[in-house]
Amino acid sequence: MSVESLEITYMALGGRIKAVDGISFSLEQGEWMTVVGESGSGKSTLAYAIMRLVPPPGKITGGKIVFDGMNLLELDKEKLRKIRGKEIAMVFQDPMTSLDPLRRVGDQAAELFVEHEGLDMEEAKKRAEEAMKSVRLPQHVLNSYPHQLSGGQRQRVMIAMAMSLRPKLLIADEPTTALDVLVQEGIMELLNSMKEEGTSILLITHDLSLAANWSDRIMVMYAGRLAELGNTEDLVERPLHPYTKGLLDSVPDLWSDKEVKPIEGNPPDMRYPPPGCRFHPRCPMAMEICSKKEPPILSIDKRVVSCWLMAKEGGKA
Amino acid sequence: MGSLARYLVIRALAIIPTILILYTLVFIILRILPGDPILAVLGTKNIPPDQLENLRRMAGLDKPLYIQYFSYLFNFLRGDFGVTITFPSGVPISTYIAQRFPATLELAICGFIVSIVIGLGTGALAAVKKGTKIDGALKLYSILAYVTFIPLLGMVLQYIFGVYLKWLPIAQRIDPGLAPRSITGLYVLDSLLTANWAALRSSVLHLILPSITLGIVLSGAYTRLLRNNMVEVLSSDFIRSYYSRGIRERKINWYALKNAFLPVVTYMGLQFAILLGGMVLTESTFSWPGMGTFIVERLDYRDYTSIQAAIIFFAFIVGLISLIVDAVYALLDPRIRY
Amino acid sequence: MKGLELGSSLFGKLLKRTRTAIPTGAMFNVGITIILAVVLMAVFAPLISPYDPTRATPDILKPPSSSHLMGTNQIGQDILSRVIYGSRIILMVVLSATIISMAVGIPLGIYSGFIGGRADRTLSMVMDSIYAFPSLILAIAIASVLGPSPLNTAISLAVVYIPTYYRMTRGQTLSLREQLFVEAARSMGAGKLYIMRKHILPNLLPTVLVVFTLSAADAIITEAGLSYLGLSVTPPTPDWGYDLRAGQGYFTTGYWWISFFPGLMITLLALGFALVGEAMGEKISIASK
Repeated sequence: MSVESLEITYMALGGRIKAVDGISFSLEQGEWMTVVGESGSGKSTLAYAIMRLVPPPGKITGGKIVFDGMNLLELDKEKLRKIRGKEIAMVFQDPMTSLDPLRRVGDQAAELFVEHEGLDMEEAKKRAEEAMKSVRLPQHVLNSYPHQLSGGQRQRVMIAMAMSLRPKLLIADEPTTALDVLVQEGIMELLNSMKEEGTSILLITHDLSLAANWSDRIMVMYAGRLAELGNTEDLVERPLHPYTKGLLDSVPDLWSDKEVKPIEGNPPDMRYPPPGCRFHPRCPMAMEICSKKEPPILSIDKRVVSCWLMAKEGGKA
Repeated sequence: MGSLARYLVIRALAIIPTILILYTLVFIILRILPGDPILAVLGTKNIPPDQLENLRRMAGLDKPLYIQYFSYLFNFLRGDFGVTITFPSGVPISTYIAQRFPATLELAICGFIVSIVIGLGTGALAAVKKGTKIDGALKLYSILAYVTFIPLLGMVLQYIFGVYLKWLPIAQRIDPGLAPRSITGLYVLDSLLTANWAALRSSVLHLILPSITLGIVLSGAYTRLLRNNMVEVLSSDFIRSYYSRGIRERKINWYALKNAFLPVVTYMGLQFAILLGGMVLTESTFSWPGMGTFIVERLDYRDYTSIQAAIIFFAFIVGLISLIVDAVYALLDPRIRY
Repeated sequence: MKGLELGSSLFGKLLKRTRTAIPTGAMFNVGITIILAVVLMAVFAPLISPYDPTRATPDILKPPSSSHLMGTNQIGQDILSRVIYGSRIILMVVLSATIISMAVGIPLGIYSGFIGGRADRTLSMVMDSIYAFPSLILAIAIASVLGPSPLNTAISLAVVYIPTYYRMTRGQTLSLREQLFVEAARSMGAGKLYIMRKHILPNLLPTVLVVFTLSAADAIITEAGLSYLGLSVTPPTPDWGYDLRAGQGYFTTGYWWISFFPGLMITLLALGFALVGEAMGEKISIASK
């Protein structure tokens, strides 16, 4: 899949907010990429956009999303519906509200098979049982109503449903933020096992350590724009963008006495984003040009950075 | 399912204070307010004192107040509603109620059904077409519906469909002489049970206009409520999950409707009170022989005891309906049971 | 003097808050126009009414024409004049009933919400029971005992709508009570009455306006119902509900104008209040988002 110059705008009461402003990246089959950023960086909006689930008043106002050779943004509704759940699946942030409270879990899970593979309810139920097994949930879950399950169980159900049709891409938007740390491990393991079977994973999170532990590549977003993108190991050891550096410095390390340094300042009000490089008000290495012109997007080796500091070192756009 | 039964029992017990309060309130209004209630209701006609005394005794007003309170309640629960004191005098009121109440019940049920169908249909439509002209038009419709004065709407419908087009009857429950054998008192049900097709046809035809009148006026509130609920539900997380799994939009709207419908059920209990209020006017307009017209007639005759009995009867019904609504809600929402 | 100062400062605060609550938009404008038109009609009735509404003439059952814009009824009275004068009764009854309801319901609601405890619980139960009871029937009960007259109708209506105002103010008081500025005032040693008066009361105004308009719409319909049933005025006083009933028998035989115009006015006036209420309600819920 590749995303090209994606733009998503929200029409709010105060004005227009460009939640996603010209983001481009690509994702290979079987690859795990994590999008990292603070709240308001646009990362969740990006995730929704892929399946065209951006809620109003947001609208995709520019760019392309190419998946399997098709531009998803130009598909008609029926084709899009067939892709959703089957080729691309999504897991959302809050498991407590992601299931229909009036229907049994088993019915909701089996429905996928009826809808996409044309099975009848009997067979669909059997497939749903298998799906529950694959996420290590007991069978009685199928007969339960959502409110009878815990948050962790519900999230596993969501993942089971996402996995059940073996999609090519799984998008996970902060899947563990609402859960406790022990459960988090389990969920991440599940995602990893899916990756090993060939599914691409696009994880959205604000937790850099989570990203560092599991993904192949990391993309750092700030205020709707790409800050840095690269292989996980490289990026973590040699961050190029000041924001990435700042994020790494602000994460406590269990194994060392590293001093924790939070980034100063707050994310910008997206109605009136700072001119030039959006990070410049908080950047310890800001130069004059940073407040005037938007930094170009440069690729250096396998890294993509958007920073004036790198431009001096002769990177190519 | 044990917890469901327990839940209902608790709700039933909770209704009792409400009914008692209402009974006390009505009792206070009718007995304790200043002035001799008999004289007030009868008007200040000159009545010979012994006749007045007679009337008072028939109305049970000769005993001290607190005895009246309990004995009336006790009798009421046993089905003894007292007797009429004006023309025709001395008739046990329970006979009237036994005749009239089924008529009101039948009309109430039909009116209720019509209001639900219209209300839910328009509400769901407005929600799905949110923001469009249809949504705005339906909003206007809902406001107009609930402010419409029932006799006005009733008369207009009577004129169009009864007098001008001559399609439907405009008064009474059934053509004279066709009443089916009385099992439940509900003509439609009774005619079905006794396979009396002529009675069935006649009673259904007579039900149409009054039910529609009542139904339209009641539906206004449902339209708005359902629309707003459904708009909220449609933007909720689990609906988004449904979309992300590629489920068809029609199905998704249906699931949304079921979720949005739930809070409306609790509202229905309140609406029933409004429905009963509207019954009086509807029955009057269509000369429907129910509790509403009973109260009106007895008002004209200044029959104090009948009015009292009817109103207290309504109080009990309101409590009962409240309980039924709670039961229905519990059945529909699995979160309450398990 | 204290009272006057209090009154004017309160009024000033209310005025400021009202301005933020007044919406624009078609719904509000249409509604307020209707209300104002009827009010003007009531106030200037003697000036604009073409005939004496109670005067019986031999011109009976005449359809609408240039001399009788709304026709005449079965005893020759001009319906337009009766409609114009009828607005007085309905407005007076509904307004006085509303004032009584507010005067009783609002203080009780504030008190109940603020004090809490057993008093609150008992009062709430009583109020909820009344609220759940069909308003027309309750009004019939009261009016039937008091006797038919507009004043008694007003009293019945007042009783029926007290719970509406009670519940609204109680709810608002409960949520306001927890807010910081009340806590602050209490910690500075302000007395309960002072807090209720100075802090809670002004904040209620927008909601009171909405509830007032919506229950006024309901009260108009209920009042019409009561006078329809003969519990309000007696002839020959012109009254919309009563006139509608009087003309009902003639409707299906073709003399539609006798009942139609009073009925239309009832619906129209209620509609006016409802539109205003809905418009204000929308503005408030948008503002609070």
